[in-house]
Amino acid sequence: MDVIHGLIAGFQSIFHPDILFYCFIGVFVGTLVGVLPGIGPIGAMSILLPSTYGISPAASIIMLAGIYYGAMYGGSTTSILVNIPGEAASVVTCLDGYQMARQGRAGPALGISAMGSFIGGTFAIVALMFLSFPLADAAVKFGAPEFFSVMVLAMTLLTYLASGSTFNAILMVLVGLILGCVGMDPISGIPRFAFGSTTLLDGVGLVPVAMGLFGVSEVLMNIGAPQDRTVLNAKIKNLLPSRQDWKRSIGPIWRGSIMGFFLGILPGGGAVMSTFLSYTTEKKLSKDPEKFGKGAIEGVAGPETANNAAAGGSFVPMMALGIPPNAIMALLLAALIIHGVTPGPLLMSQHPEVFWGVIASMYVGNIMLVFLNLPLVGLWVKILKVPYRMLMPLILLCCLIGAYSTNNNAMDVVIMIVFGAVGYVLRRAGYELAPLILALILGPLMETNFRNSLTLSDGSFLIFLTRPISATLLVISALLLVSTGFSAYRKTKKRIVEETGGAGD
Amino acid sequence: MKRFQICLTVVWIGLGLFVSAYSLRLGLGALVRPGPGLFPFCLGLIIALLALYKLLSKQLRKDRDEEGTGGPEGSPQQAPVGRLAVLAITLFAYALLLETLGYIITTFLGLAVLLRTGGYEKWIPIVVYALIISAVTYFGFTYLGTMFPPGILRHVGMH
Amino acid sequence: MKKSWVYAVPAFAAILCWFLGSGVAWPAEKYPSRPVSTIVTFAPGGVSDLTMRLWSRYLEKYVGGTFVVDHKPGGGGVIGYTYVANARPDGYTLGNFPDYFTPVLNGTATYKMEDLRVVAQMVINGCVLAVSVDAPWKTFQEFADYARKNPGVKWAHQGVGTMIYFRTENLNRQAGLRLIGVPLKGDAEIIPAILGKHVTVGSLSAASAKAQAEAGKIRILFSFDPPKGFGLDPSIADMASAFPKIQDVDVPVYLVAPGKTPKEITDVLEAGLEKASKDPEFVKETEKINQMVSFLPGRVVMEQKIPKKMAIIKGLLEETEGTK
Repeated sequence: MDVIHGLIAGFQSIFHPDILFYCFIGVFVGTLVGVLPGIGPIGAMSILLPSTYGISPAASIIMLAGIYYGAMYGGSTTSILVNIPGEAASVVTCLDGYQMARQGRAGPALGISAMGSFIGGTFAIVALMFLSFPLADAAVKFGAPEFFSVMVLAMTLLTYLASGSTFNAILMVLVGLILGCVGMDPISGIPRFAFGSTTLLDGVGLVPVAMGLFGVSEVLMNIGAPQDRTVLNAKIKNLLPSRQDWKRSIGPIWRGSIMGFFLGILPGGGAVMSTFLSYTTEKKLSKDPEKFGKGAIEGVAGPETANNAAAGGSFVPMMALGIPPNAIMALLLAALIIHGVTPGPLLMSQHPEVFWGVIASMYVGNIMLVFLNLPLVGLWVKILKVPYRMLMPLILLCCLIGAYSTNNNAMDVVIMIVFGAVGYVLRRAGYELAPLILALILGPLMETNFRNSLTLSDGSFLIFLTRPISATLLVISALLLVSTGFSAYRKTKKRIVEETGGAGD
Repeated sequence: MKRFQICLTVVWIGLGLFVSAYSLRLGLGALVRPGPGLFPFCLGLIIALLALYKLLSKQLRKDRDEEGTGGPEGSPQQAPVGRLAVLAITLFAYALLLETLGYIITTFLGLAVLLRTGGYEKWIPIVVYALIISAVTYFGFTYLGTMFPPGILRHVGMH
Repeated sequence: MKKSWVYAVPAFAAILCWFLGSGVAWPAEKYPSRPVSTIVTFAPGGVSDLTMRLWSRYLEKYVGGTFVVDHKPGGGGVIGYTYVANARPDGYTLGNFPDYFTPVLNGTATYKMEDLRVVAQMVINGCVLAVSVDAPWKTFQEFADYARKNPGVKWAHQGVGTMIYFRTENLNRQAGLRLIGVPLKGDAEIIPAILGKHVTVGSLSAASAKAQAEAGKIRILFSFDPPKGFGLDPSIADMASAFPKIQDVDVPVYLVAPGKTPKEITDVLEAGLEKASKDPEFVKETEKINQMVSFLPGRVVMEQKIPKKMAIIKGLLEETEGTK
């Protein structure tokens, strides 16, 4: 199907007032949903699903896709303003975004986040149009050994995330991996570390842990160490990114787009991984890496672009093969089924108006989102000025609702509080939480793929090295580890020299 | 603060040993079919060893603070344990009472305590704010489809 | 201060009246006089969501009242099953469940079989075995011969403990295919595994397989249930024709009520479901979501089907435990 024709047809089909209206609703609800830590995009999509029965398939898909996109935009808002990640892909944004907010630069952070998201999303859409099929074929080549190696690389990258002690980051990654083992073993079905609790059978749960580690612990920190609040009350400087900010962000944005899109194609942790790959890359490429973790705008621009590009990339397997790469896409597929459209490799040929309509709507949706989010920056920033004694209970309430409503289970709320306490203790001791939560998300993927690889190879470890993609990834991870070890060794050597030289004695 | 961090390092050692011991019971499995205990066993071992290394190297290098550019957050002075405890207890009570008393009542009570802890002094604004917020969020989120436990208000017919 | 107090009182009173006014159930009214809540054990947006919403529309048509779908995912279904098992047996809490005896058999259940009762079986889900389209076997017979001669062929499934897994493993053992299972997370992972040839064969739902087969990406070799019921090519081998002697376990979906729910209420529901199952619109819509209508009264399910299936699964569990 001729791409240009298809695109033009797609645009023609969506420039009807009612379809644009649904697109707007989707995008608006999505932003709301992303900002409120309570409901996730899945919840919003499934609630609005019944109301799509009466409208055309293209319109309903466009609305639901809009929610997904909007949630991506909105998720960064809470990360920046209150240090609570709206979703897994926004965890990394908390690192520098929140610091920027504390320095009175919430406006530029939100602004660059919105613009970066727009550019990343647009890039992904263009790439999606032309590269869907060849990429889908390549993605299918990723089997268990390849996914394991990707995860090994991810774990290695996680240790770079920390602005403090790398050693502590490694400990945090390990703790996260251990926590990921809680629950029913995905391969044998045997409960692990569940201690008889039905809730723990599904693991500790990402949402309660995120709400607790970031949200509740933040509140505890603010109550327990009130001095820190004065920084936030400092005057809010300009609302938009300065020229300086833009100059520094261009590189991260275009690198983030590429990384995000390609990693987004991989099912599972692709989008999340792209965020910290981007962060780590920018940190390595930067002239002053110490700024990262203290409010470096590159640390916001890169990951935010990456996660929106990844959202676009996640449409690749769906459009080309009909396979949803995550739960949100699965819902989109279900919506298609209700409308009698069978998702699958034949979607593009059987229902071109749906396929191209969705792609065209992504462009439009992206534009709507930028117009929606940029003016809202002023509004969000004002929220920061609400006195903390009122803000704190509201934040806690949102966290409580968020933790409860995932599974309608009060035990999740208990888990959240426990992790809130844990987060508070860890932060006071100087550990960083981002590697922990990211390792928690990716750990089970790593383990399952490791064990499946061994089953596939009938017990031979060679499978990781004989398959080209897997071998390459492992070699890269090894090189990264060696280089960290090497620089740590050099630092120690330098210090020893200083000690023996400087101590006199 | 130093003692606190050493304590935590010991906790990691303990955690690692516990995890490894538990995993042994789960079964390590054979190479062809790695068992459920293999992965956590290795993790537990690694973390225990690393934490041990950290402990020993800290002891051997008494005053060398290798924190890097990051470090402990928050003011070094003693935290107001009282307020923190109230907060923690309130949250736990909220979680435990949520399903019995239902969302509206529990949230109302919880918010009242939180607003008070946050710094509001007079009871009347506290009650009013708490009530409004509970009701608004209840109706708002229920409209959006979240299911909240009705608790004792179930008998009054709440869904 | 006085001012805000003055506003608060009427506000509070208004809210209170609203609460009391909505939906109080007076006694001795016809069932259902309040919204009925049906629990689905999966997260929103899955097939079970679609299924129950479909049934709700027809239940409302034939039984009356309002039926609402609620979600209680987790624990392999145990959380939802337990919730319904412990709910008040007044007919206002029901469950849309697949077979729920597996947790009882493997010890993770927090309820007993007597705490739940099947009102009726409504539909069954189809399962098929499929290979990549350029695989050398064109019929199941060819594949079976190959598998028997080359033990250790890898097959992908949705996880140990799922009914699809048991069903295929049952066939595997009884037909001597000597396949080795690789657990993945659902059809979305199984399909790429087949396409990328990371596994040789996959056991997945008829729905997903059909879409891929129509696009020419995979070849369905075998269907457990009669292929025509799921819109598949009738020449595909099925259990009845290829292995008539093997006892199969199917993958139904039931409407379930707490064990002590009064018979009058479950009879009303069962009758409504039976009417729905004969409604051609219902059949059509069920086919759209790739399920097959197959109504069985609750009594038949409880007294005949479930004990038989439990025995088979129990046997399988014991065997797999042994070989671990």
